[in-house]
Formats: sequence, C-alpha cells, structure tokens
Amino acid sequence: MRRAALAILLLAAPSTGLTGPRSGERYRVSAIPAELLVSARAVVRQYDERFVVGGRDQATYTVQRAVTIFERDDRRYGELLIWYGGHTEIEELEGRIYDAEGNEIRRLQSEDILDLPAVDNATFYSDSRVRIARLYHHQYPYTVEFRYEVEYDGFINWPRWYAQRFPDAVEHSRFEVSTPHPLRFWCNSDSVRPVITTRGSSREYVWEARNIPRIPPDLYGDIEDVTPMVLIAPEEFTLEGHSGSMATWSDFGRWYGKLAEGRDKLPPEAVTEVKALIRPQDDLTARVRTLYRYMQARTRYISVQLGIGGWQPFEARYVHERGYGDCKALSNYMMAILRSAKIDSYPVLIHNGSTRYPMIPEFPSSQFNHVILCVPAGKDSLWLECTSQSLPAGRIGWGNENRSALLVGPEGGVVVRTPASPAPENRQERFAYVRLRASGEADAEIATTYSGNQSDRVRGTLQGASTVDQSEWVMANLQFPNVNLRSFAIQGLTGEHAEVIVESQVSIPRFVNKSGDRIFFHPNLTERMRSAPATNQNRVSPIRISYAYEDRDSILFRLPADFTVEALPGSVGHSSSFGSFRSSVTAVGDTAVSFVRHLRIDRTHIPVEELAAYRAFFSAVFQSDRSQVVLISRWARRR
Amino acid sequence: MNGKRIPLHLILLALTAPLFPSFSQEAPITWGLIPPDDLAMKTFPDDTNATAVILCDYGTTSFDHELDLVHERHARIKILTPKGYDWGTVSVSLYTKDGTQRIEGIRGATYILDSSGTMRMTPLDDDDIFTEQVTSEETRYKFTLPALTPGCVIEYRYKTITTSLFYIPDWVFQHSEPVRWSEYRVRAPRNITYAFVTTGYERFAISQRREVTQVFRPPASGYLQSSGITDCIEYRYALANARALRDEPYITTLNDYATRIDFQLSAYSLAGTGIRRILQTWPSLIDELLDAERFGEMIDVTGDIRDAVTEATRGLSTPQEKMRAIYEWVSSSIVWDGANRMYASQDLDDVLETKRGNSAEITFVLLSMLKAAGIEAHPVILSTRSNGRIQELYPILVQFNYVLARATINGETYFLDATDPRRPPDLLPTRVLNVRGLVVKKGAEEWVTLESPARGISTGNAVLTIDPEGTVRGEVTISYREYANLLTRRDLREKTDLEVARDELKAGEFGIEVDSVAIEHRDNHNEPLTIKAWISSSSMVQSIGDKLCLNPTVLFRTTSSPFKNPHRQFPVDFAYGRESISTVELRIPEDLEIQDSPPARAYTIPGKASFARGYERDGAALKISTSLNITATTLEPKLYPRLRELYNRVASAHADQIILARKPASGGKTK
Repeated sequence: MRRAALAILLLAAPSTGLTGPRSGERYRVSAIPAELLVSARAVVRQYDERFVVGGRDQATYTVQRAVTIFERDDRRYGELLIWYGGHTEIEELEGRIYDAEGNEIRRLQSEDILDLPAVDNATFYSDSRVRIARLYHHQYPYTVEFRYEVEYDGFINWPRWYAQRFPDAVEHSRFEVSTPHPLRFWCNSDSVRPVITTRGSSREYVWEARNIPRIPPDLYGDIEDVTPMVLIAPEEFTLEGHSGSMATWSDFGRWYGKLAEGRDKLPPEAVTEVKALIRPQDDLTARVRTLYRYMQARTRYISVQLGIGGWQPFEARYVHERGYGDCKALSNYMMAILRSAKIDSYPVLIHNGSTRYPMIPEFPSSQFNHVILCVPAGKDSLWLECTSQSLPAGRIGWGNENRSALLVGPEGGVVVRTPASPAPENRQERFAYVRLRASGEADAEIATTYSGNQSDRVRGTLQGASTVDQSEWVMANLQFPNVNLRSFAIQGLTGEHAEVIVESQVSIPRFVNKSGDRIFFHPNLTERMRSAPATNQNRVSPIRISYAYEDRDSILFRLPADFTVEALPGSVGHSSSFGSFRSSVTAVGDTAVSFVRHLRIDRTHIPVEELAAYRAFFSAVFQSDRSQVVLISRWARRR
Repeated sequence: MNGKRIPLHLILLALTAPLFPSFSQEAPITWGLIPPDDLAMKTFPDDTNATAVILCDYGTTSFDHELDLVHERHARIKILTPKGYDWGTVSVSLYTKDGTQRIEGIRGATYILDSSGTMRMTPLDDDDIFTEQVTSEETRYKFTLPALTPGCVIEYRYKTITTSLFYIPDWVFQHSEPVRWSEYRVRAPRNITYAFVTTGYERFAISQRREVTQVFRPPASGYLQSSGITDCIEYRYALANARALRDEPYITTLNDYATRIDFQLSAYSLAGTGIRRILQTWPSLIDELLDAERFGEMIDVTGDIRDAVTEATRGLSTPQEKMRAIYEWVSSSIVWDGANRMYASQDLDDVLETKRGNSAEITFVLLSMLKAAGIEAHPVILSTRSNGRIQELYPILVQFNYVLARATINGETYFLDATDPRRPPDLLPTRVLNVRGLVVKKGAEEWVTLESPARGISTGNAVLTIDPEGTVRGEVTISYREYANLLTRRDLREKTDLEVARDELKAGEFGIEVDSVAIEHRDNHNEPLTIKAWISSSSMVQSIGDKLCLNPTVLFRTTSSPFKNPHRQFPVDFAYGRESISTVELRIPEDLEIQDSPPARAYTIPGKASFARGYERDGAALKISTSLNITATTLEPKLYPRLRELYNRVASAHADQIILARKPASGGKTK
C-alpha cells in the first residue's frame, strides 16, 4: 500500500538536475511542502549523489546533503560520517549552517572534523577510516548542508542508492551516474526507473524522488523493505592492479580464483602430517571431518582486512605457521589441507547473516561479506565454515544456510544454494521430573538436548567456558529469580557430537504460589515465551526469523502428599502455514501431573500480509505458556 | 608444526645475559625458560574457572643516558581454553605527538609441548605486528601471538621510551584472570622524585624501597649534575597468587577493586632548572590549576559570554532565576561531545561558536556566564565512577578527569553540570557521584561530598476492572521523579511513546495491551514526567473451574533479580537511592467475590532497604499497595545475602495470585 503511493510520487518526479545557486535561498524553511511537515523533527531537503566513472579503476563520487532540523534531539543530522580508506580518498569536504531564512550562519572548519580508524571490536586490523564532521546550532529550525567528494582509485563496489536513507521525510533525492559504458543496474522496485541521456561519449542515468513522507516510527526492519534501492556495478574493474570482470558470475568467480592462485601451498612437513591423519578405511565424510578438526585445533579467527582491498587470502603456509586468519584465509588453508589429502574443495563467497537480499543472483556484482568452503560429494556436498572452533564438520550455522552464494570453481564462478535446515533438525528437546513440596519448593531434574542451529548457539557459548560461566548459563536459562543449582553436566561440546546435552539438578525455593488451601504453579517450567506480540503496531516490514526450529518439552510433576488436582488448563492446539503448537496438561493418577508442549516454526519469512495471523498464533502460545495448575489441600476437600 | 625446536640446554645458555641488567635484584622471569610444569598444566589448581593464567607479569621503569623514561614489560601467560585466546592479542596505545613516546623491541613467542613431550616454540613475526594511527596524537601498536592452542604458554616483551618525566607508567597487578606473580620496579635518580599510591584489596608479597646507585653517561649525567655514579631510589612491588577479578552488577569500575600502583612526578632538580616542585600541597595545586591556560584561564568574561548572559537572563532579577536560566541556556545550546574531561581543548569563544564542547568546556562556559552575571561560582574537580576512586593523601592531579561547577547564592550551594539538556539543574549525572570532589578556589582546600540526595522515584497507580468476558481493563498513571525522571526522558527520546509505555509496564512479558498513551510534562524537565496509559489484557484472568485467578500487579512488576549469583566479592554500589510505590485498585464485578487474597508481606534491611506489600478490601474493590525502597547507596558484601533475599521476596510477592469465586446464586442469576 505504502509502496504503491511512493511509486506514483517517484514516477511523477521531474527529472531536472540540481542547477540552483549555491546559496541557502532554496533551504528557506517556508519552502518545505506542508505535507512533509506533519510531525516532522527533521526534513531532508536535498540528497544529491553523483557518481562519475572515468575508467576501469577511476571514479568520483560527489554527495550534497541538506537537512533542516526542527528539534534539539535531532541535532545528530548535523553530523556526517564518511567511510573511506584503502582505495578511496576524501578529496573535498565542506559544510554550512543556514538559518530558517536560508542565511548562512557558519561554515565547517577543520576543528569540526575528526578522523578515526573505523575498526570495530571484532576486527584486529583494517585500513578503513571514518571522517566525522559536526555542525550544530541552537536556534531552531536551521539547515545543515554538507558537500563532499570521494575519489576512487580502483574499485569493486560502487555506491548503492536509497530514495530515503533515514525515516524522515525527503523533499528531493537524486542519483546520477555518468559512465562511458552502458550501466548495469538493479532495483528492488519497478516503481523507479532511470532517465537515460547520452552526452558525447558518456551516458547519464538519473534516478529521482520527491516529497517522500516520513516512515512511521514502527518500521521495524531494513530500510530496503520500504524504500526503493538501486544497485549499480561495473562490468570491468581494477583493484590494486588486479583487473577483472563481473559481467557474469563466472567472470567474477574467475577473478577471485586468480587472486588466490598459488596461495594454497603447504610446507612439506604439513603435507606429511595431514597425510598421516588419513586412514585408508575412512570414507570421504570421515576424512573431511578429521581434517576439519585438525584445522580447527590449529587456528583461530582474527579479522585482518588487508591485501587487494581485503579480497586476497593469506597464504596457506602463513596460516599454518601463524595459526590465525580471517574467513578467506582460513577457507584457503582448509582447501590446501584437503588438497594434500587429494580432496577437492572450492571457496564459496556468501553474505552471512539476516538481511533482505543475501544475494541477488540475476545481478552479478560484489555482494558478499564472508567465505566458506564446499566439498563436492555427489548429491550431498559438504559445507565447511572455517572460522569456528566449535562447530562440528558440515555445520555452517544459520547465517550461511538456505541462500544463494557464489562457488569459485576451476572454470569460474557458479551460483549455488546452501542447504536449508528444516525445523526437526534444529531441535530443543527437554525432559524434566519435578517433585513439588508443600512448602512451595520444587526439586527438579532437567535434561535438555540441543541439535542443529540450536546446538550451535549453546556450543558457541559453553565450549571452553569456565565452570562458573557454564553454571551461570544453566541458571539463567531457567528463568526463575531464585534457583539453587545442585549439580550440572554438559555433554557433546566438542566437535564429535551432533547434539549438546545439558543435565541439571536444581531446587527452586518459591516455585509455587500458595493461597489459602490452594497451590498454583506454572507447569511450563522453563520454556515460556518471553513476550507477547504487540497487536497495535503498524509494522510495515516483514518479520525474519533466523531459522526454522522445534521445541519439545515433557515434564512430570510429582504432587505433594496432601494435595490433589483441583483444576488443569485445557489442551491447546494451533497450526498454521508457518508453524504449529500443542500443549496439554493431564493428571497421572492422583499423585502426578504431566505437561507436554510442542512448538514448531517452519517458515522464517512472515510477510506483512500475514502479520495478523502470526500475532494471533503467538498470542495463543503466550497465553498457553502462562496457564496454571491449581492444587487443593485434601483436607480442604473434606471440610 | 613449523615451530622451531630448541634443545633445553641452548635456552639455558641464552639466559646467562640478564634481561634487565641495570636492576639490582634478579628478575623473576627469564625469556624462553618455561618451567615444564607450566607447559604441562591442564587446569589451574588454585582457580579451576580460569581460562588463562598470568604466570608472570614483570615491569620496570628507569632512566637511560638521555634521561628518557624507559619502561620494559615482560609477560608470560598460560592459555587453558580457546576462551583465553584474547590474552594472545596485545594492544599498546602511545602518545606519539612530537615523538613523546615510542615503542621498541617487541618480541613474542608461543610455546607448546608436542606429543613427544618436547617444547616447540613459534616466534612472533614482524608480520604479526600492526600499527594503527588513531589520531594525530595517538598511535596504537597491536600484535597477536601465533600458533595458539589450548595449553600453550605465550610470552611477550616490549619497551616504551618516553621523553617526558611526567609519563611514568602505572601498573595494574590484578586482572580478570588469576595472576601468579606480578611485579613492578621503578628506579629514579634522587634528583627526580615521584609520589605513588597503591590501591586494592590484596596484600603485596614484596614492597621495598632501596637506595641504589646507577651510572649515567652524558648527557644524563650532565642534567643530573653528577660525576656519573648517581644515587637512586628503587621501588619494588610484587603481588603473588592474586585472585581473578570478575565483573559484578552494580559496581563503579573493576579498576577500583584491582590492586594497582599509580605514580606522579613530585619534584626534580636538573642542570639549569633549579628545584622544580611539581607536587606540593593541595592549595598549591589549586593555584596552579587556576593559572592553567586550559583550566583557570578558561573562566573569562568575554564579549560573547556577556552577550550570551544578556540573552539568557533577559527580564530576570533574582540570582537564583539567573542561575537556572544560564544553566538552561548552556545545556540546551551547547552539544556535549560525550567526552569526560577536566581540561578544555578549544577556546571559550570557539565553544560558543561551534556549539559543541567536552564536559570541561561546557563547565567553563557555565562558570564564565555565572561570573558575568555576578554569581559566585567555582570549579569542582573529581573522578567519574568509571575512572575510579581518588585518594586524597597526595595531591596527585592525574587521578581527576572531570570538572563541574558549584555556585553559591546567599550561603546556599548548588552543583551544576550542563551536559544534558534533559536534566534539570538540581540533578547531577550519575557518573559524577563518586565519593568526593575538590573545590578549585583560591587559598583554600575544600572537599565536597559528591553524593546525590536525589533518588530514582517512580510512583504509580492503577484502577482495573474485569469485564464479563474476563478481559481486564484499566487506567494506569506512572510519575517519575529525580533520576527516574531523567532515565524515562532518555527513553522517550529514543523510542515512541507507545514503546516506552509498553517497556515500563513490561507489556510483552505480562500480556498487557497498551491501547493508548498520554505523556504529561514532556517538554518541562523540571516537572515529573507522567505516563498515562489505557490498558487491557485478555490473558491476565485465568478461569479455573468455577473460579477466576489473576495477578493484577501491573506496576513495577519484577520476575527476576539482578542478584542471581549467590556470592559477592565487592560492595553493591547503587550510586543513588531508589523508591517505587504503587497502588492497584481492582474493582470486583458484582457477581464475583474475593475468595483468597495473599497475606501482607514485608522485609527490611534496617537503615538500608525495605519492601512491603499489603491488601485492603474497600467495598467491592481490593487495593494492593506495594513499596520498594532502597535508601542506602552502597551495601557491603556481608549484607549481600539479605539484599538478595529482599529481591527474591519482591519477585515472589509480585507473583501472588488473587482468587475470585462466583457469588452464590441469588435473584435471577444462576448458572
């Protein structure tokens, strides 16, 4: 609905370029269309991006951005962050503040600019930097305008354009690309189309949007779910002297393959060591498993973003000696190990994590943030995530599952699809025996088995953790304010096992609520859904769930001697296209109560149209999870 | 394995040349000589929770022939599990502007026992070392040790050289993993004296001060006006078998509890300088601060300041009004850049021009404007909670990192910190509530207590009804005062009104729908922020047979305690007191009556904290009153079990159920 309205606006937008005078005249606040001022805290007056391609390794990116700020809390629009480094350099940076009438108040000075390494906590070393410019004023409204130019000396990624980059209203946004060759582009929506003109030997492509209203505050999701996005990509490119093509996936894969060429040599003693690990009776899977474990034991993940813009892997020999590397270095090392054992494998470029577009297969371009490895084995290839010290061989984690990716084969790149894991593979199964005491205390023995993606999460936290940290995890998982952990044991944390089993013995001092002659308790000991979905949100983006899963709980409660069941919650059963839920509580003779719960989620993408059904489903789960059993004193009955 | 195989006897030979020849006593650690027991160690017997053990951390600081400060560090660490790999990555940040500090001689090695029981060594390569230019003044040197495996022993050493007498490195003896031995030695010529302070809970195994001599060549001997043989003082501190410091909720900073030693240059007498006293008395330090370009000199009534005061105080007459107006002007005009500082780095007029400043610059604008308005005001220097506690024994300036303002009007004092436009003038940010601060005022040494009388106060009431379908509906009002006011205002900036109301009621967790919200006093931070919400819940009432059971605790309900851990190492530091008081009135429908309501509950830690909950029947309504009051800002570990019990009782009382039964049939009402 919203998107349709936006489309009309975009089509109606005239395609005139930015020609106005470089004065603040056009930033007069009175010039903002009234409909954009509705509950506005800030309005983007102008977001003008220009990308001029000079050759296969040269381009200039110019941005002009002006935002009118209405409130103190939105002064952050007076801050500009420019990421650069490696093969990009900031050539120009200017800024101005204008008052409500458009009179210039102040210009950006060098003291207003910071320059810092752009290195996150997970990165050990990177040559990325960020320049931060800050302009503030204290009389509202005012307008902050920035203009900057970034020079590309080689590239692989070109800028992507969003009609709207912040939730705030946009008066005018524009993207102009000038290139000597026909431009390859891709857009997530049919609603925006470029205006193409030929000027001499170059072609110009212009996308424009005007008067886009503010995105409601409850967007919840990625901006590309609600706004048009344009990707552009070079056909031929050069990065630090390494030329390639991304006209086809095959070409792009070939380029990556060439970067890694000759970097897969292991020292002779390593080859000997690897060969000695292989037993002749082992099949392919067993061999890969042995070698994967060998790799895991020798390495750790350290992110070092260096070498051909961060694309060229460290040499296998180096990783072997140093025992560390990033995703491409570790994958390349694993490939070398496998080769020593005469097993073929191929790097797979992939976009890891939850995102709207993990890979757009019809648009060959640089869309990846990670590398894994594929070992072809008939129908069932083996996939290896080489940055983990805890995953069992063949498990790649939900962030790599069920998506298109680019396998770099001997003949170039090939689009492949990583395996999906259906709900029954990602299981949490719990059995518990609980003895209730009339005092209100409960003693419980609990055994939980985690498999698939659910086990990855547990294994990653608990493997190698101290006993104190493990016991705190076990207690935190029980969701009671006060638990005494008597003992616990964990199995399957090391690579051999597909499942992790956590067993614990606990006592819960105030498990039940007492009221007169009655005792109340929640038969759902541990797996309570933590939050009911809000029903009055105007969510405009779909819900993405990390992976399909299944939780099963079976609990037997032994009742205190003097009590008997007065009331039990009714059985609940729901099923829908995205999952199913069953819960039941039954009396077992006169002395015990049995609780069974089964929640299964099959679909990981819930489109906006199905949100109401999704909420209704989880509201039912929530309510059922909070239902109670009531016991009554046998003496009360007789009275 | 490509690590170099080194026969043990060769290593021993290499050791005959001591690493730190200038120190008079033997070093506690020798490069490359790894005791076989340390290599073979699988778990650390003294602390089986350790993922790594600092086997030995040895540092020295002394002067060289250029009279530069030379600091050497040599650390050896046992890594027990992959979670301990972080210890294999080392980062050293230096102040490199004008060559003030530099690093030399980074060495590192990883040792393992191979399957035949032979030690193998992999050295740190130049490729493992990275340099990162953080700013034009700061450079970070990072290295990561190669070939880590569980069970390996790593060691590394490096030397930093500082051309200023002032930057003598501090030493932290305790870390988040156990330390078997940590030792620091400092030697300085008698002409250069340092004051130092040790803090922490552990006892030193060695704490020595010795008089020794050191031979200096020119030019150092010239500066020191000595023939070459120079009298020196050598300090030696060592800690043995220090326990791991593990983080706990509600503490200031782990650094406050770590055993450490901090140095400050006290005086020096060099050729051409005469005797220079750096460290004297608090009053002389105050005088120096008042004359300092980036401190006292910043408090200045410029034309721009005068204009700003005129703008801010137009039409106001009393000093109190003017003070408030100046505070509001500064806090809403100048954006705090987030940095906690004690010194300005730009001029006052630039701060006014750029509308941006660090905490010190904002305080100096405030002080200058108060001065221009004729209001007596002085800076107060302090150390923020995350920067750690200060000691008052020696006048050591480097322990402070923050400055705020204190105004005096008719003998009344007012502390002011204008870094947050959402905070009223009478509320200090929690980061400054750290024991004591020093007033920077000519001719006096005055310490002030930085404890806020303000608390986090939340008051709520709710009126709930039950409709025939069993849906609970009601109106809820929550008012926030003092720190609670500030925190909720911050939430409102980041989230929508509806989200804030849902969060405050824990609506998701308790199955409450917020149907509409109204916020009062949104734009006036001097008034309590008030949230009014109209709520409903179809899951609150559960029918059990012919009875209904419900928990109407819709206000300040807790289901978990921040104090899950049964043990506590450090005092619980709340920074400020808290109070939450609520009344829930549940109107009972005509056809129902209360069958069971839980008993009243109370729990008190005398003078520190209390909790009470009571039920009162009022005609057809049940009134539930709950109050939780934390009056103490800190509680010693011995009171921890009681505090934990208090929170458990709160959670338990908040889970209490009320049971309603159908009234016996009367009139036309039958089932």
